[in-house]
Amino acid sequence: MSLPGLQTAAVEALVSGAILRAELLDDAGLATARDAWREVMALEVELSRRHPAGSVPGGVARAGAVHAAFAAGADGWELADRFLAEQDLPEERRQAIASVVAEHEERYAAQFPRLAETHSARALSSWKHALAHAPSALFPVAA
Amino acid sequence: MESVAFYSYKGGVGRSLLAATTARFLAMCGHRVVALDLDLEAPGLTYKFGLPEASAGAVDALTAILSGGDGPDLAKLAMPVALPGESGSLLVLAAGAAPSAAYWAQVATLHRPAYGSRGGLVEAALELQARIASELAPDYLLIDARTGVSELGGLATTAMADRVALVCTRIPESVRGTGAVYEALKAMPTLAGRPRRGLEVVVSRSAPGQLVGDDELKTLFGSWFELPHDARDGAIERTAEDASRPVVSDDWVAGKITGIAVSGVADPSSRRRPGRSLLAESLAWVGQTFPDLGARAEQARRRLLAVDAIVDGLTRPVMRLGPVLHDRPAWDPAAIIRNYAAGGRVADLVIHHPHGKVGVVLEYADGEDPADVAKEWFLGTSARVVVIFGPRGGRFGKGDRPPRDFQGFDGGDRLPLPHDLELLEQPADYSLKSLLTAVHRTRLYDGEILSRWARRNHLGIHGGVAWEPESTGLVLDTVAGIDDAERFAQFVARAADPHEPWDEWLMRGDETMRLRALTEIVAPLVWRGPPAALSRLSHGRFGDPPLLYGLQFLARHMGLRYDPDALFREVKRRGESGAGRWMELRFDWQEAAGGLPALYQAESGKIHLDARAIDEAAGRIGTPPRALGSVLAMVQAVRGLLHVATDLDGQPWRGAPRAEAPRAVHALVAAVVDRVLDTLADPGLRAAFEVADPLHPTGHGAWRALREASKEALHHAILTLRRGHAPIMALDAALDRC
Repeated sequence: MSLPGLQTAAVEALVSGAILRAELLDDAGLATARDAWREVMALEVELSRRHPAGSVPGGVARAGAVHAAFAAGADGWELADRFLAEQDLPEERRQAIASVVAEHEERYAAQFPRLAETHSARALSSWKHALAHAPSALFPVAA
Repeated sequence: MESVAFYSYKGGVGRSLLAATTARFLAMCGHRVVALDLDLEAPGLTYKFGLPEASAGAVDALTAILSGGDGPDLAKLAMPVALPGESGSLLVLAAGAAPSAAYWAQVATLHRPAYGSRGGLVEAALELQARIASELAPDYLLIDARTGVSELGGLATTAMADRVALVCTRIPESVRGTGAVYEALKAMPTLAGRPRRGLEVVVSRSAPGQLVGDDELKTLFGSWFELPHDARDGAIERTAEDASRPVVSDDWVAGKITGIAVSGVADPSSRRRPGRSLLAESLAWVGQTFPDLGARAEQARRRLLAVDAIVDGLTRPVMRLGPVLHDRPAWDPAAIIRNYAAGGRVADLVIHHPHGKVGVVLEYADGEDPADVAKEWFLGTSARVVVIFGPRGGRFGKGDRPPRDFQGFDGGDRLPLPHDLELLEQPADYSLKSLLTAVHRTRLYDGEILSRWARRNHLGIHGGVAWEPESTGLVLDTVAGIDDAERFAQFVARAADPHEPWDEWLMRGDETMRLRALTEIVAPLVWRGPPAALSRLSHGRFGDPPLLYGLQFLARHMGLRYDPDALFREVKRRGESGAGRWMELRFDWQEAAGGLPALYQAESGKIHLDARAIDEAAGRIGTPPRALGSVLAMVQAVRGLLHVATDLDGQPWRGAPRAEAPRAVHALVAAVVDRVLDTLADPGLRAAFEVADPLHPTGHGAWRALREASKEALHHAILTLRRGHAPIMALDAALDRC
């Protein structure tokens, strides 16, 4: 998602509303919360483009994007890897991102205990990504 | 645990059936097998195992996993399949409680991950697979995958499978769609830690004339395995052979079974042709795909083919011998049960006869004494015949031990047919003696009886190389006891049928040897029948009339040659047309001229026999009418041959023998019959002949004086009298002096 026409303050207002909505849907236990978190992820990613890694809003946006990605069932590792590679990202934000990743792996292992013994969530996600983007891709295996 | 996915681009190609066959066979070879139905949108795997509809299944497990719950106990969810004997195990994890509205609703939710789920269908399916490995611990997980290009189909073939069987038919859309999937699967990345998946292409339901040829298949797949179109035995219910037992030998399948399944030309398009069984070919694929099971799969396949061939032999209603189709009583297929278990044994085939009762048991056995196996079946069932086939076979009748005439099941014996149980006291006893007990009632054993008669009497009555006096005597005595003229004529006509296997000379094209051989086979039978049968024997349905051989037999004893077809063959040899086959001498069962019991009429070439006159004469001289009739027929036949036969140098008779012919003629005729009766060695005919002198013209009784004459002298006398009147008178004078 790219929002060139929107000012940063507007995007920040949008993300606040999206987070509120996603959390409310989460609390209600509705499956549509995943779509709401996907919206949060997109807005946080946009904000991470607008704010440097070393800035407070930049750090918050980055950690928020990774959290939202996992909550949406999307590939949070790709975002995590990208953000953690940024030199300016403060340590506390790194730990926050690592903590989100670890929490996701824990919840994955809790839900798929036997699968987790042989295939981490990250490995499976990588495979699905490779499958979806292979030149010979045929089957619509959900990423 | 090895996971094998069975995938097809199109439905209805035999994918699920192949999966089920493979699962069952693997289990019967001692493996632990789980069959998983992942064709969630159109499930049906349980039907292939004969299982009831499931109340829960994979869908329930997947739903629970996606919701974060533990889900049902897989051991309780899986449905066991009963297997014969000592085997491995087979559990079927159905798709779910299909078909029901609740089921379809549940399936729909699978593609929308539940709230809070940290994964989707991919993770759930892989978790289920891991749970199967952990909780059910199978050696093999066989997955019946979703057809078409779908997430589930992709899951099964990419994430879950170590090996994929791609099944298609030869219609274009099936082949080309499968080709696209095949290429995609080859290039798709494997899941970390999984080996590169093997891809096996199976082209199913093959039949001639289908649209896609081998060239296109070769371009797409390189190689593939072909399964036949025959769906006759495609139902999985017919696969329950115990593959842990060894099966038939090469000899059995290659030669002996097909021999038993009745000779004849197999219809190439017939779906019943042994060797094209879908089940058997499926096992060949299993053996190829799972090499460590190759030998056992091949054994099971050959055994199935053997059983198929036996079933074909039991149920084929006609058999072809040359151009003729003979009716052949066969079993109703509904009376044949496969894989019948009783008392700890499993028979390959059981035949119910009468309805509902076990009449015949057929079992493959190796490493066990066939007699012991048979005894078990007799003790445990109402079977009257047990056939054990395998390296050491046998056919057993009910009793404490095999019948004395037991013959090994060497491929030359027949399978037990319905009439065996109805007509033979001991249905397993195919000895000559046993078959002869039924000859008065049925012609069904004629071929076998005559085949053995021909073998034991070939090229020499009473003294040929293979002559067995006890057996041949048995046949002759039984034949002599057939009073029904029609039945008798039927039996003898079969002996003269040129399409029978004992007429080997016909095949070799040696007419001389053929005439001689058939004369030896047919003639002794002709002259032992009721006289009324002789008129029927004057006509042949195929080839020469049987009577011809009886007459040639007499002619040989006269030093003459009787060959009414000689001119026909000569004309044919010269390539001309015009001459027809015809029978010079024939019998007529009607009132003879002048009230005589028998008379030869030179003008018509007919020999008349009068039943009433024969009966009256027999009563007068105190001999059975049948024996008297035969003797009188012989006498008139000899008289006729004097007239129509040719000398060895082609010299015909110059005069017509009449009732008032010189005494020498009567004496010579009687002398010939006397010699013939010596050869036939039938005491009944001999007795009738010796008391019948008063019935013949003066001079007949002089045969006694001619007994001491040599054969050559007799022949010379016959040739002499054929030359004219003077030599006859000289002979008369000589007889007067005797």
